[in-house]
Amino acid sequence: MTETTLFHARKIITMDPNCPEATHVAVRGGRILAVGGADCADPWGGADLDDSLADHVLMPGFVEGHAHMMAGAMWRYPYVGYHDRIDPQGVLWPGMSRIDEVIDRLKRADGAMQDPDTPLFAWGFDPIFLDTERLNKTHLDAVSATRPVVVQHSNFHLLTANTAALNLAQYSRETNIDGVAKGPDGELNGELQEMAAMFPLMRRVGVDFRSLSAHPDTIDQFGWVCRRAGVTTITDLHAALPDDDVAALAKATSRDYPVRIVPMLGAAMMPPKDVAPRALELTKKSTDLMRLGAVKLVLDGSIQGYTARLRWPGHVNGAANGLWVIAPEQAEELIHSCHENHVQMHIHTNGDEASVVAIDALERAMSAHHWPDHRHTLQHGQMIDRALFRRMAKLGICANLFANHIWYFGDQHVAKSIGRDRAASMDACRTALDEGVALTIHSDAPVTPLAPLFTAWVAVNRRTMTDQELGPAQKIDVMEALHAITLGAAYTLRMDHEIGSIECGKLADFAVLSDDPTEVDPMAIRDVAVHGTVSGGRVFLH
Amino acid sequence: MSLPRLPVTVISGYLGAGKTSLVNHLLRDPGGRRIMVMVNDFGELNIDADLLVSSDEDTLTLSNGCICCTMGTELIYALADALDRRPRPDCLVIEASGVAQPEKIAAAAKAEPDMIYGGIATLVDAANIQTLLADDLIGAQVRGQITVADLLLLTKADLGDAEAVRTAMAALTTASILDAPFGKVSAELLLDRPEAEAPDAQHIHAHGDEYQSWSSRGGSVDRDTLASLINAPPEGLYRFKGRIALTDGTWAEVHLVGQSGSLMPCPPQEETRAVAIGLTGRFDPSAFQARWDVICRP
Repeated sequence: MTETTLFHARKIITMDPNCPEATHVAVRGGRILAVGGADCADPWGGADLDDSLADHVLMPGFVEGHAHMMAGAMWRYPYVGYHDRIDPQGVLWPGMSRIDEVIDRLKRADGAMQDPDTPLFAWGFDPIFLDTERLNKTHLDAVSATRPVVVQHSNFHLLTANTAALNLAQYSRETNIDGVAKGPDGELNGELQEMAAMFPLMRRVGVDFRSLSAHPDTIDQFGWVCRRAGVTTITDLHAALPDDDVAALAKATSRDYPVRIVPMLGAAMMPPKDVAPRALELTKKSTDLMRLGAVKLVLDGSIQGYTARLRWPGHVNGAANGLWVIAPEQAEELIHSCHENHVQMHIHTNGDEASVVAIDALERAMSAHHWPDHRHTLQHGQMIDRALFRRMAKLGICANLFANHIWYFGDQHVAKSIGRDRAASMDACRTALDEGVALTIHSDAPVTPLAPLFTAWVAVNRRTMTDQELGPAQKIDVMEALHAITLGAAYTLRMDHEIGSIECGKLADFAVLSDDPTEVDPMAIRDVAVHGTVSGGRVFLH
Repeated sequence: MSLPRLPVTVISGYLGAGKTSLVNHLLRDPGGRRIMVMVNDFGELNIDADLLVSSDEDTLTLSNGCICCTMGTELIYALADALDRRPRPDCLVIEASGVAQPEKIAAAAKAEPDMIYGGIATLVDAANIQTLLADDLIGAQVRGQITVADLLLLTKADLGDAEAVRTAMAALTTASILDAPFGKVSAELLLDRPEAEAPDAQHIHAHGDEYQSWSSRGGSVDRDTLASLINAPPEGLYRFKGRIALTDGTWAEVHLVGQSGSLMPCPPQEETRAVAIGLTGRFDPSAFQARWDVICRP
């Protein structure tokens, strides 16, 4: 007979209304056998008691519906950002608010490198939080006069390089190229703006995030990032997924991997007519820990980058409307083809005009082809208003809203991008739920750190980084937020029958917490510590 | 790095403007170059079976070059792959997506020392362009592709009011507009060559309806005069490049395509060499020679 383990916890929050709380959960073959008290396994012939979680609170393993594998790859390089971050090994990288702290950290990294010519690359730098002068090549020349040093800014659109690095790209005083910035003296100041200007340098520094995404180390690090955040199922929400990458991922997740990965085929990677057939082909390659078959489609850009497609009256600072990443008529073709073939779509729409285009196209596709339980999901959907949510509810379209934006970018949205009134109704979780739209919320890691309890905290409290309350009418309560990061996300991934709650028959995926998020002050939810996860019955404590 | 630099031409235009036809045409007649083409979709291409050497998931190897299927966010990495390819192709042609900002791709080619910017050619579909420009959703992006172009290529002129389209284009850009029925346009006009290949003596050539060429050797030119030549190129001049002795004793490498010119210091050469290509009917090589005779000291 298969071994049965009885986990004892201080408290188990099941997210199953039939048995909302418990103290014990019995696990057999990676699945939940029974939930209840100390005797819950008795009818099944008893179980081996595992007391290692007895001091902790268990919840269903968190489900992150919008993240990227890159969240693991970044940690190959030192972090030099403003916010505290914890790396996959659990090391705290304290945020830095002064340039000299950044320089010190880079000097230590330089000192730790063996080969004197290997470029030093660092990431996460964010000048908008630093009151001091702007980071320039002179600062970085102080780190090394010989080793190329490159500091990537957190928005990925800028970097600052030292002289040795600029020399690699053959940039000089004579260079007259957009994005290669110069100081008032006409000399390069070290800042390179946008991909074109960064490309020659990144190419020579040898940092190629594309090649990293299917690398075993990256996949391994991603697993660590997840278990530290209590996440047991996560998306890689835009992957090229050639056969080689799929094989590499299947291999890397086959042994003792702590998280279930849901990679989504990036529709931009191939001609529209090839997308649905490829997605169907990928479906057949799914394993327990690698769930394939859904498609990611990107319609517009970002609100803070002024590249989202907005309806009237557009950007409050007068910036022109944003950009379509795919032509609306081509998106329509894709949406029809995927819907007709029963391929689920996750559609990136930041601006409200992009959401309208997606909803219109989906509605037409649904009128043409019957598939009631499609669960197509708008990703980000930051400017969806009540009228659009009503349509989404009618059409069965789910929303994965970018709650973290309120904290990270809310102040900027008020001041620069869309103004206070529309910023206050951004990421409208309350409206979505009130109108009956299936809801989850996300981090978009590594854009913002993976931490579902933090994401829930933002949705509950709607505070910005400067501690302003932004749009209190859109707050949701703690249980609604916890639902969003468990069952809510599971639903959008078509996995709510397997994960998202602790009940008989589901996979034994748990988040192991220090405290009960339903009991602490709602402002303290983000401080509830994660001690690890249980994934398919396997315990992964830090 | 001793490899010749890679010239990069960007083919832009909205869906249905004729980009694939143009690429097919260039593949059939690349003017003796080994070309590398990046397209959105293999399926639309019409490749001669006797040209095809081998194929895999995302690369077709041809006897005169290769074709890669590259899309979206991968493009910038694909540029690096193109540079790393051995033997390095003589030129790279990128078919931008229907909503791409071709100037972003072009900017990478301008910034990369191992590349030469070869121009943006934007295809304009005479039958649909006015409707597209008026479209609330897509108009601005279509207009953007026209305003950044070095050369406009008019297709389906027989299906629309070509004159009205030419007038509308002239209001948007100073770039020349050329008829390119079925995407037919000479490779010599669209594609650069890896390095300046000037003939032995001064030459003026007429090459039929499309373009005229001019070349020159020897002499030296004042830096400011040269700069003003490429900053305000004469009517119809599309390409101008050379390594040119300056009167101050230094050397400059100049490069002009459409409206985009650059002047950079370069090592001393044996002698000045310069070549120009202009559009027939708009570029007068004799007038250009006369101007050159004035600015170039023997």
